[in-house]
Amino acid sequence: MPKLLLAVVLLSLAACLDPAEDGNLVPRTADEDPSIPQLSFNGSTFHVETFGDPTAPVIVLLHGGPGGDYRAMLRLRNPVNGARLEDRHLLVYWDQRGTGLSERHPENEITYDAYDRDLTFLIDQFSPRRPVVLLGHSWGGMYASRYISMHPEKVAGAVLMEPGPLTGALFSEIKSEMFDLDPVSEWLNDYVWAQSIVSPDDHARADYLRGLGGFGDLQPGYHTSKTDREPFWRHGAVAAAAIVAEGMVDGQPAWNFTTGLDRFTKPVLFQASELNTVIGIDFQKRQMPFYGNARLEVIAGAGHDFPWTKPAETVAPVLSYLDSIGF
Amino acid sequence: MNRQTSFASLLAALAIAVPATAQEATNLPEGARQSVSVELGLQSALVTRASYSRHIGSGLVYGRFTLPSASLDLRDFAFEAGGQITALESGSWKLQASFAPVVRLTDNDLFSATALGVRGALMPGYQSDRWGLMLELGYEKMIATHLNHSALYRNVGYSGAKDGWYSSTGGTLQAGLRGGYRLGRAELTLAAGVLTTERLNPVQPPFYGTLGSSYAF
Repeated sequence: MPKLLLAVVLLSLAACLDPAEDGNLVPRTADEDPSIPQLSFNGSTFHVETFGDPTAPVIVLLHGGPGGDYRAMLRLRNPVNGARLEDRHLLVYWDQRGTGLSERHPENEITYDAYDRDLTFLIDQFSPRRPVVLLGHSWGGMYASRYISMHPEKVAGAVLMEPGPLTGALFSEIKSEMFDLDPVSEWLNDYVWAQSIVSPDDHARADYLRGLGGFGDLQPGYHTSKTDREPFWRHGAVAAAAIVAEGMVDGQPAWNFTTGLDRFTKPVLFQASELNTVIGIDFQKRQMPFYGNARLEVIAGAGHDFPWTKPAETVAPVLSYLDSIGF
Repeated sequence: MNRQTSFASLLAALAIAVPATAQEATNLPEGARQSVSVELGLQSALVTRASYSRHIGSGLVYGRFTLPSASLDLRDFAFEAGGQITALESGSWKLQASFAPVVRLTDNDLFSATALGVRGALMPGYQSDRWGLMLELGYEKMIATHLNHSALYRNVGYSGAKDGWYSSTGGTLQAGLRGGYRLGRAELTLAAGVLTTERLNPVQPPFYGTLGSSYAF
């Protein structure tokens, strides 16, 4: 009888789903699913989609995070008064290394240098003879700034949608306002309690748990929508941790993505949301002088997720900006 | 006698021969065989924990209910019911071992879960009538977990998330110290230590700390 019981238990466990297997808790990535639009380069397989005429000027989109994905930027394809970004441009959407539906990597393979090489490859692939416009939201705006500081010749312009702090020093100034880790908040206790049931011991489970954290109200000052939440495919927990860690020296925020930005004299469009009290209008006014030629557009009635919640109001000034730089 | 009967007899003999130990950090007062306790603190969330234990010879059986208490949500809790024995003893120095099946429930924005697991712990240390201090080395393993995904996750995250029973969704290692001081029938207990996943990846927060009180009768 005990042997029979043991056999039943073992058979039952064998029939259980594997939490580490992609496709169960989180979607498969491009390297595992050939139906996902993809491109392989630099030793990785990326989730990449393009929209528009392949011969048109190229806009490369850089999603937020780090560790996010481009799903929340797809409404930027919506028409504004009958005109769409992709009518006159080729839009290159992609999930950054180790995020979204792109292939997963160990933490030591997610570095600033790898991110730099990945973006260079995409620019050379889709626009080998002409500089591109970078359009980055939040972390994507930081990524764009770092790239511009290192490769200004590859960039014709930039739309920086409420970028996070471009230096560690700026981050230190605002970090107390940035995160609200109220120890008695229900979402935080839900998150830490969930770790006693699902451990972040592989990519699938770590990404899954990060999704739960993403539902929490970690940054109330950003005033993101609770009724029209930004969608995502799959968080990149390891990539997020690696990128954050690389910006730290002895536990202190030490990145500086502004070195050399003064060499970039082409016009840059900053966008800021009216409601974000942390990295909104006032904060972006402090960041704009890192560039030689920047102007600001405010997205009224929106929080930090304005590319998702206010796509028309976001795209309209982008179209005007592109016209103004002849792109 | 078959092997199982012999083993039960051996346990019974040990229970009679060895002085009673306690789940507490100190020895129970003379004549007491049961205790109730309450702990408050941080251990995978802010928790309130209520326990009952009944001492049987050198061991005890216990039941323990843990409720995350930041905001009262009865869909999140854990319950374990198990036993503890004194495996080795020399004077007031003891090595105690415990084992218990555990059930954990949660309901959050992403999923609801019912997790079935086991918890084992070794507690070597000093245990006298007045005070005690022991190392706590624990391991909890979720063997099978039933997950149901929320409409929110399906709408804004992964629509293909699979509901059902999952094997081995998690495991937590714990290492810390537990100390106690007895005042008559009451004992005050303080415990603190570190937590990691079973593969030594960090959890948030990576430490625990509880303050408790028990009453023996």
